[in-house]
Amino acid sequence: MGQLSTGVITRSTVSVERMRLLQRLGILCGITAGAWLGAAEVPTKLVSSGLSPFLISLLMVAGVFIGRWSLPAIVHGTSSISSDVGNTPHLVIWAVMAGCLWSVANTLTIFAIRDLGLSIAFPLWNTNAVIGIIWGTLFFHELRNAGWQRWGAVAGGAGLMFIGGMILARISAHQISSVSAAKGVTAALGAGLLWGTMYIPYRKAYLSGMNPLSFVSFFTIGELGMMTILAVHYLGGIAHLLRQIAGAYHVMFWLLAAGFVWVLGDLAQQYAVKYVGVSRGIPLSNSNQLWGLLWGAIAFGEMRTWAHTAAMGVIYGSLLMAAGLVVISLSVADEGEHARWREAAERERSRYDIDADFVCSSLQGKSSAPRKSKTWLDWLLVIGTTGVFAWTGSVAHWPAFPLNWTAVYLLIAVALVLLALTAISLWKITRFN
Amino acid sequence: MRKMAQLVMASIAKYVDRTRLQSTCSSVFSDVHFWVPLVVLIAGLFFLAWVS
Repeated sequence: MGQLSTGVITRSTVSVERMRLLQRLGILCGITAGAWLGAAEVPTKLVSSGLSPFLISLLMVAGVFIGRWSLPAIVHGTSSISSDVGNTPHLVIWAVMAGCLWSVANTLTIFAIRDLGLSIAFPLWNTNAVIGIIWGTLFFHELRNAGWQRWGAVAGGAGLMFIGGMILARISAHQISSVSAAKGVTAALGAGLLWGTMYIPYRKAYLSGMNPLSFVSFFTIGELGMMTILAVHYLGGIAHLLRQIAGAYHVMFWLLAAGFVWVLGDLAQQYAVKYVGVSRGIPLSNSNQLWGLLWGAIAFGEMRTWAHTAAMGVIYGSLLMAAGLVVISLSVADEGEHARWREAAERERSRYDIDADFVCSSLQGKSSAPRKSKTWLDWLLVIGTTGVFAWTGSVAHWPAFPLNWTAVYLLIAVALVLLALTAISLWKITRFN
Repeated sequence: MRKMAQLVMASIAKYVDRTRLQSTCSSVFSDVHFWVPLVVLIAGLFFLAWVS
């Protein structure tokens, strides 16, 4: 391992056409991630009444766990995962750490939704983009050699997001009791900090050459482990937890589905981070804020009881944040910045003694190892997942929640089209590498 | 319980190269980047304790 001379990644080059293609692919992945991450909060909203946020989060994470083992098994097979771990064993620790961050952040978002509502909480925790940009620049040489125009775009976009977030926080204070608003805003901003920091392991993994599908498989062990500890601690022990799970069997399907939908969005987000970096991939996938606004405002009618000025404030605040995200996303990395990314990859390769071919191939969206066929374990995972959803679906109760069905069908259709486009492009361009 | 723990450790030792495991852990813990998410995770647990 690592027998090639030092600096081989720094000196390696990617053709301009390939670089542009991968960047376009990263942008498409980021947009799709936004649609699916936004939709993932919808099943949670359907069942939020009467259940502990810890129970909701645990069951959602169980759905995430199922999705994060079955989807990679379908696409690449579990043997590819073990091959990736052989090349980069240190990333297992990083992935588990990222999973722990995700679990705590996800639980905080459920408190935020309960106290503030979907349409306000979403933009607040999307400040994770700013945190991600800071870590991307400090630790991974993103935006280095980027020129003042790109820096200006990113800083201006971050400024717009901050102003938009402040408008929404002010409105929340007027619509909700001050104690709930303070706790809700803290929960949402805390989730933003944790999710923004979670991108450190993401970027480390993709600069080191690990396949996103392998990374998420270990990530989810951290998620489920941390969430189980939190649920046991906050719900009063294992016996209480099991009793609550048994009592929630009729809504289990919705929460598992929320986790599964989240995995689809998160996988797209992982590929976006891989191909356009944290500082651009995360703002793009944070367009889930707009999807959250659309689901909350149109499908659930959250703003029906609000004063006209407050509803307009939410729309203006969200549009400002969205404008900030667009500005950041348009500052595409050039060859100079790419060279600095390769320096960061070289540093990781050298620190963890990774095979240079493995890292170089991955940076170009290719695999250094031959494709392996599926094993019995892959099929077992797929059958098990199908069985779990079929059983929980058969005992699920339809929540008594008024919905605007035309809006629901339209939003689902757009999300499905984006997913299909992304999956086809990823397959054609990178074979999901 | 102790016997079960010993059995688990023996099974891990059978499949995991202990020297490689030690060097991997040592590389991760000596990486200054690792301590940033760890500190943020601990802060997150405090946020959670307050809002819950």
